[in-house]
Amino acid sequence: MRNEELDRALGETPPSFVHRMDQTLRGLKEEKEMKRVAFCTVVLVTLITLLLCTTAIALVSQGLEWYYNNRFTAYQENEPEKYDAIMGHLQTEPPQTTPDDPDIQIAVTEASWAQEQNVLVISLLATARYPEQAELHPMWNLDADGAYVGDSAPAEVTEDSEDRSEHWLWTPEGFGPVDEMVAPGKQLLLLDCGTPSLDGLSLDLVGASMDAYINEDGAVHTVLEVSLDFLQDDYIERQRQLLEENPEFTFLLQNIETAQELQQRLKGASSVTCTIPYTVTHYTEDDTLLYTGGRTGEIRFTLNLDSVTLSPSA
Amino acid sequence: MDKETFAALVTKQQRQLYRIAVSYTGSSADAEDVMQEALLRAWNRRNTLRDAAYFSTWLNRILINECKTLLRKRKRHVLQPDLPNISTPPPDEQAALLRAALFSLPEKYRVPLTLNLLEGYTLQEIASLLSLPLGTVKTRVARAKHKLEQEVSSHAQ
Repeated sequence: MRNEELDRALGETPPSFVHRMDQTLRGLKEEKEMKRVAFCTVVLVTLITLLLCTTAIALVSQGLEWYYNNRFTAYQENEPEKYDAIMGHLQTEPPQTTPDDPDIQIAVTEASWAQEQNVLVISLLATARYPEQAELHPMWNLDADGAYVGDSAPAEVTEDSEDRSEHWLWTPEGFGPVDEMVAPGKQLLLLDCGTPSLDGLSLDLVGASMDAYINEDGAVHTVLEVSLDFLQDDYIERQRQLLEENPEFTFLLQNIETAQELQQRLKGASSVTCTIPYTVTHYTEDDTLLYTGGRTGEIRFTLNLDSVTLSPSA
Repeated sequence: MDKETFAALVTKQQRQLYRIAVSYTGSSADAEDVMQEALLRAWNRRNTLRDAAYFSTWLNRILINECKTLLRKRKRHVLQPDLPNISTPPPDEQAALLRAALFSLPEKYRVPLTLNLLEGYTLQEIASLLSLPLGTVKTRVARAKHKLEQEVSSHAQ
């Protein structure tokens, strides 16, 4: 294998990458010389800031604002217009039908339809229904680095420390085998939220991302981000072009059909029912049951679409 | 280091930054995100770089850390798990086969392999870049080469 072959396999550097690099480099700022400030002024400013921060933390604790200011800060720092759009369209505690789930309590706490920045964000909080009997963790926190290699892992210890045949769990306390990370006598429940649907049509066709973690209150906070690229004027044309170039990517055909239907349904709508599927799995060492035996549920809420705009041709 | 020098050094290794980021994340969009984060972090910490001769490795290490952080924080649902989400198409069928084979490798094999074959880092340097024991890197690069060859021949059939 030659390095030229690998280089070609990765394709050209996309123009958007080059452009973003240039933009970032242009935006760098040299530090200005610090001015001397009187000690008493520093103390006063510190006290006022502390007071304001305490109040602010109490107000925004654990919501999307906290999330984008503390856990995922890339928008706040580098794409402020996206951050502002998400914050500007926040819908708090939208009307919803919460499921009567035997294991967990789950609710949509916030949503934001920021079409001008091509993004839909949904925030969910979930806790174990019986916390004295069970601990709820995100499914993604099990073997978070993908290290678990199942029964095919060598039984003997190898020099590759990640070749192990037991599941490990990330928790706020650290990373270790499930037995050690979960409180003695408690059942481990694992939550996994899926891609949302709008009016019954899954948004699988577009880019979706997810983050899930245990927040300071011990609840599982899930943040789903879905691209609204399918509402762009040229989305369908781009998919068709891609399909022409890669006829083997038959999923693109499905993308086109779903995008057309979504555009039709959203045209002129002031709100839409958004459904989020989820799976709750009781931890088991049987991998088949662990990954396919979870109980599914769904939560529905009404998403306000007052900012939807579609091109006349859509 | 002033802004012009920093920008010139970064631009010089633009292709390398893209290759590392996209090999790690498997996505052009994520590659852009981590690159931007890495550049901002590197700029803010440029005073910690003692010797400008090591700028390239120093920046790559920051980029790799950003890749790790991004993947840990934002575990993407990959809609078509067999296809890397790279916006630029491979130039021909052979490159397409190799791309598919490369991205069918788990990240823990793919990254050391590309650092070794593509970026020319020694195993010791990779161990340092990825904060892994040298033995682990040796094993992973050897397994990665073997697996890649297997994948290429299976994709070609």
